[in-house]
Formats: sequence, C-alpha cells, structure tokens
Amino acid sequence: MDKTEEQGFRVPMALIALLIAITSVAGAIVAWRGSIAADAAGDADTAGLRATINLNETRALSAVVAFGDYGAFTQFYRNRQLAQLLEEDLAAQPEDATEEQIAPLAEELVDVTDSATVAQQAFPNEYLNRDGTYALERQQGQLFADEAQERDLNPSANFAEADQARVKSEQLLIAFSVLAVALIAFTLIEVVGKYAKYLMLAVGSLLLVAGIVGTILIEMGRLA
Amino acid sequence: MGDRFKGFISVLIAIVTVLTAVVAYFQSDASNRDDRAGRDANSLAVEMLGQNVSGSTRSYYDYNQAYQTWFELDVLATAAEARGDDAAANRYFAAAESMQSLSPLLQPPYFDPATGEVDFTRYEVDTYLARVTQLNEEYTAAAAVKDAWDTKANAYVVHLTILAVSLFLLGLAAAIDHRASQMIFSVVGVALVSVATLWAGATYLEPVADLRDNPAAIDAYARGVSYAYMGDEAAARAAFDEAAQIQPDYAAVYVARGTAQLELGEYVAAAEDFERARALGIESPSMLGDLAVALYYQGRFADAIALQQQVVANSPTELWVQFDLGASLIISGQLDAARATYRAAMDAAIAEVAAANEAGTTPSSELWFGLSYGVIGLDEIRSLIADGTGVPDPALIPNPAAVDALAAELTTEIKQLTVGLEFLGAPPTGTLEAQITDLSFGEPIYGDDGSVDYEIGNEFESGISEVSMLFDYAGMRDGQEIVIKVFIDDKEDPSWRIVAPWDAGADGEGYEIPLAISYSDTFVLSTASYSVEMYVDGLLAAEGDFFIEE
Repeated sequence: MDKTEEQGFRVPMALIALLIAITSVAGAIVAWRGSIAADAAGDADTAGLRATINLNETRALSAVVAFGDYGAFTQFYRNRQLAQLLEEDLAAQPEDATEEQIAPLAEELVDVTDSATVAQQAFPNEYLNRDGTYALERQQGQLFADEAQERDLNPSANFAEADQARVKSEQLLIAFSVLAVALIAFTLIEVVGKYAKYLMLAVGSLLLVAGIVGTILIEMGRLA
Repeated sequence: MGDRFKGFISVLIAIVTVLTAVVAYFQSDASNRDDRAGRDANSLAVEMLGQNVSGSTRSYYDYNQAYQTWFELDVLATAAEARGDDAAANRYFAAAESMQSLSPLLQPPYFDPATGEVDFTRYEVDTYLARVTQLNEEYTAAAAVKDAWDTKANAYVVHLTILAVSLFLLGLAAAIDHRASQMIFSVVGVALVSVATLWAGATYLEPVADLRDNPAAIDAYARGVSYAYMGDEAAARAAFDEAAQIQPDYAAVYVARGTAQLELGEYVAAAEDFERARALGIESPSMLGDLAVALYYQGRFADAIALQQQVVANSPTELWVQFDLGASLIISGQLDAARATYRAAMDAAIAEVAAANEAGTTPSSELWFGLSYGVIGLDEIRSLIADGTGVPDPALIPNPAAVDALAAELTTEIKQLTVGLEFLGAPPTGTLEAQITDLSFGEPIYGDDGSVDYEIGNEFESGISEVSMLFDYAGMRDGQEIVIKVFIDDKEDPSWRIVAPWDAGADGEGYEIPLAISYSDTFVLSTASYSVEMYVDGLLAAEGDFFIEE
C-alpha cells in the first residue's frame, strides 16, 4: 500500500508512473534532436570554412593567373606602341632620306614587332579589347565564375545555417531542461505532503506539455 | 523526523537538478559562442591570407612590370635625349606615357610624372595592406573571444562535475539511515552546491569583450599602422590616439603608438605606452626590447639593462636586444660586462651560421640585421662622445675615452665578423698582414690619347658618373678574398659590393678599383655621403668616405 493512498489523497501510482515514463521518453527524444542540431551546426561550420578556403584560393589564384597574363600583355603593349611610333616616324621621313637614316629605324621596327609577336603568344588573346587594352577585370570575373560552377564559394550561407542550427540546439536544451524539471516534480509527489502532491502533479504536467509543445514548435521552426 | 529529512533532501535534489539544467544551458551557450568565435577566427585568417596573396600579386605586377616598363622607356628616352636623338627620345617618351593607362600606380595620386617617382607604399596600403591589417585585428579579436568563451565553457564543465558529485552525496544521504553519515553527506553536498552555484554565477557575470563590436577602434588602428608603414609617424600617432580614445584597453594600439613615438624621439611617451601595453598583457621580446630602447635614450641605463637582461634570458635568439644590452652596459661605463655581452652576441651569431651551414640552410635575415644594428649602436655612442651633444645625454657617459676605445674595437670586430660569416661562412682568423695606405677617391678623367687621370678629393660635384678608389698596398697575396662594401648615407647598398680574389701581387702603388662605373648615358651618383670599407680575407684593411654635393 503506498503512502499516497494511506494519507487519503488519490493520485494513482499508475498515472505517476505513466507520466514519468512519458517525460523520460520525451526527454530522450529532445536530447536526440538537440544532438542532431548541434551536429548539423558543426557540419555547416565545416562547410562554411571549406567555402571560405575555396573563395580565397580562387581569389588568390585568379589574381596570380590574371596578373601573370597582364604582365605578358604589358610587354606586348610596350612593343606594339613602340612599333606604331616607329612606323609613324618612318612614314614621316622625307623622300630624300638616306638608307643610313632609315635603316636603324627599320631594324628597330623589326625587333619590336618580333618582340610584340612573341609576347602576344603569352596571354589569352580573347581578353584583348577592340581599343587594344586588356580586359583584366573580365578575365578575373570569368576565372571566378568558372570556379563558382565547380565549387562552393559562398561561406556566409553555410555560416547562417550553422548559426540557425546552433540556436535550435540551445532551444532544445531549454526544452530538455523543462522536461527534466517536470520529471523532478513527478518524482517529488512521492515525498511531499498533502496538497503539495497536487501542486507537483499540476506543475509537472504543465511542464511536460510545455516541453513537448515547445519541442514541436522548435522542430517546425516556429520559434526561430 | 526521518521522513521529513528525506523530504528535505528530495527538495534539495530537485533544486540541484534545476541548477544543473541551468548550468548545462550556460555551458552549451558558452560552447556555441566558443565554436562561433573559433569559426570566425579561422575564416578571417583564411581571408587575410587570400587578400594578402592577391594584393601582393597585384602590387608586384604594378611595380615590377608596369612601373619598371615605364621607367625603362623613360631612361631610354633620357639617354636618347642626351645623345641628341630627339626623334627617339620623343618616341620613348610617348611610349612611356601610353604605359600609364595600364596601372593605377602610374596615375595620381601615386605617380608624379615630373619626377617619375611612385608612392608605392601608399599604393600598397590603399590596395590591400590596410584591409589586411584590419582583418588581422578582427582575427586577433575573434581568437581572444574564442579563448574567453572556451575558458567559460570549461569552467561550466567543472561546475557541472561538482553539481553531479553533490547530487551523488545528497542521494546517499537520502538512501542511508545512519544519522551522522546523513548529516555529513548532506552538509558536504550543500556546501559543494553553494560553491558551484556561486562560481557559476561569477563565471556567467564575467564579461567577454569583443573588439569587433567597436569597428571604429580597429579602423583607427589600421589607419595608424598604414601611416606608420608609409613613414608618417606623426599621422600614425594621431590615428593611434583616436583608437586609444575609442577603446582604452586596446593593447596593440599602445605598442604601435609607442613604436611611432620612439621613431619621433618622444622617449618618455613611448616608454609610458609600452608600459601600458605590458599592463594589458603584452610581453613580446620585441616590445620589451623597444621599451628598453626608450629607457636607454632617456638615460635610464640601469632600468634598460635590467629589462634587456630579462629579455635576453627569456629570448636568447634576439640578437639585436643582446647588442642593445651591450650598448647600455658600455655607455654606463661597465666595460668588462659590455665586452662579455658583445662577445656572447657574436658567439650566438657564429653558432647560428654554423648551425645553418650544418643543416644545409641559410641563416635568417634577422642575423644580418642584428649584426649591422650592433654596429649602428656603437657608432651612435662614438658620435655622442665626439660631438658632445645628443641623446642620451653624453654627460652621463663615464670615462668617455675608454668607452670610445672599446666601442671602436668592438665595431671593427663586428664588421669583420659580418664579412667573415657572410662570405667565408666562419669568423675571420689570423691577423691582418696587408697594409693599405693612402686610400683616396677620384673621378676618372679620360684623355684623348686613352690615358686616364683622376680628380682626387672627398667631395665631388653633383652629376659625376664614375668614382674609383685608389691606394698603395703591401703585404698582399694573390688569391686573397677582397670584399668592398659601400654605405650610402650609412646604409649599405649591396649593388655596389665587390667580391673578388686579389691578383695584383704583394705590393704596389696607386692601385685603382672602380666603384661606380658609367654604364649608361643616364647614370649619375646621387647626392649622398658614401662610406667605403675594404676587407682582406674578412679583416678590415681600410675605410674612407666621400661626398657627392647637391
């Protein structure tokens, strides 16, 4: 015969046992969901860091490639400009100019034209603009876009996901704590006196419902 | 009575369980914040690396390709102009001008077409260095936040452990019937709960400062670092003032402002800032070394020595601090201790080179910096004694003649050691047998018949393009290693170095070694003070100076 019945208060032991069992199972489920949320936060952080590395690697490598090509273009540009200026000077020579006057210019023109031709092989000509300049930003943008097709270059989306999962895991911890307190309330029914037993039953039941409803709302994303 | 006691214990257990749940929540929250700050720190470190690489690549192109091509064309134009080939000069000038569109470095505000000079440091700062500095500060702040939350999370784990132990004790008290044991378990359990609760409360209330919440302070600091990099120490100090005003416990600001004030010769203010940084937890050898320098220039030699001895004891690889310690000892008249300190520093340098040779690597540039820094410190002391004025107050130097003699001796030793280590891989041995006399400098004057005469002197007019050193010699041997070093305004220009075996016999007169040769139509010696040192098998055989006037 249990004490509750002895003292004339009718809180069936079977009900208490059932409530304790429900609370324990609910607590275990909440703990499991919380653990999954924490794990998801860690995974999203790792993905975010991977994306950060991808982003910065792409930024660095596209700079190395583009400015390497731009350096080759610079040599091409230098020699082409000199070739154009030499052509203008040759064209401006008087008709009676001697071979001695023309020959050095013609030789230099050949040299710089050859150098320009060689330099032109060293960079991708598709980035040459019509006005003879080099589309450096377009090349960098294209290199970046190509990488974005292949790899994740957006760390902020992953980090936002991680933060969201972290908030969820903290909220589930609160729900777990509420259920833990409900469990204590149910357990104390055994040892507290008279009216307190009903208070404990009421408080425990309220906390049990609050913990379960809270968990459902958290899982549905209503408390985010 | 027994039931009441058990009821009381049950209520206590319920309270402790609630407390445990609360502390578990705090622990989880701290752990999450720790993870987030750690993630931010890693992310910022990677971003900083990326910005640094891409910015350096861009700057490398701008200076070494775009600007150098412009410079080459400009030199070709000037040379053509000097030859009287105006058409070629115009071509090159036009080509050089067209290069300016290729890089922002070749445009205002970085480029001055009148002088052809570029403000590359400002360009680097604007292009990426300011941003990298900012990222570095954000990284440092995130790492500090991570550490703080990590400490908190770990503390909460301890609190949870204590609460678990107390739950166990209270459970025991409820389970057993022995009265005394019940009392002991319950009292100890309650005591542990009280300790854990108070400790957890204190941990919770402990604030975690995040410098990133104050971006204006980081921005002002980054500006200060940028100004300092550009050599504008006064503007740097003003920016650091602003940062310190916004965030008074920003330790890095005091280190940076102290360094700027050291450069500005404000030694008292510099020392105060370094002390503030120290109080905020910075104890780096370089900062303590700088603090000692500030004390030294104030004439507080005893304080400087004590600090330098502490730094050397903790960081024996800081060669420059060892030389500073030597300088503090010598200027305060402790000649034997100074000699021993310099010897120890030189031995450390020898050991570093030997270790590098044995490992098949090369010594760090810090070694060469340390050795030249040692010479500069001794030169400063000798100048103070010679001039009778300057900082620190020369009146504080006891027995100046003895100090000067030892400084001269040590200067020669360090110089010889530097040449020996750099060119022979070991300190020079033996004594100097070579005698270099009548060292002079002259501008070659070429006669129409191919003869060469020299306009000898120590001061030359601006615009000369060639200078030779001339000397008589005796006691030389063919095959000896000759090293000539040229210091322009007290800084060695390695492009002037001559390293060659001697092949002119044992003795002779009027031997000529061309120092600067006229290798183009445009080269002229710049206005400066030139100091020349000649070493024979690593031993200093002769030294002299000449000047190019404005």
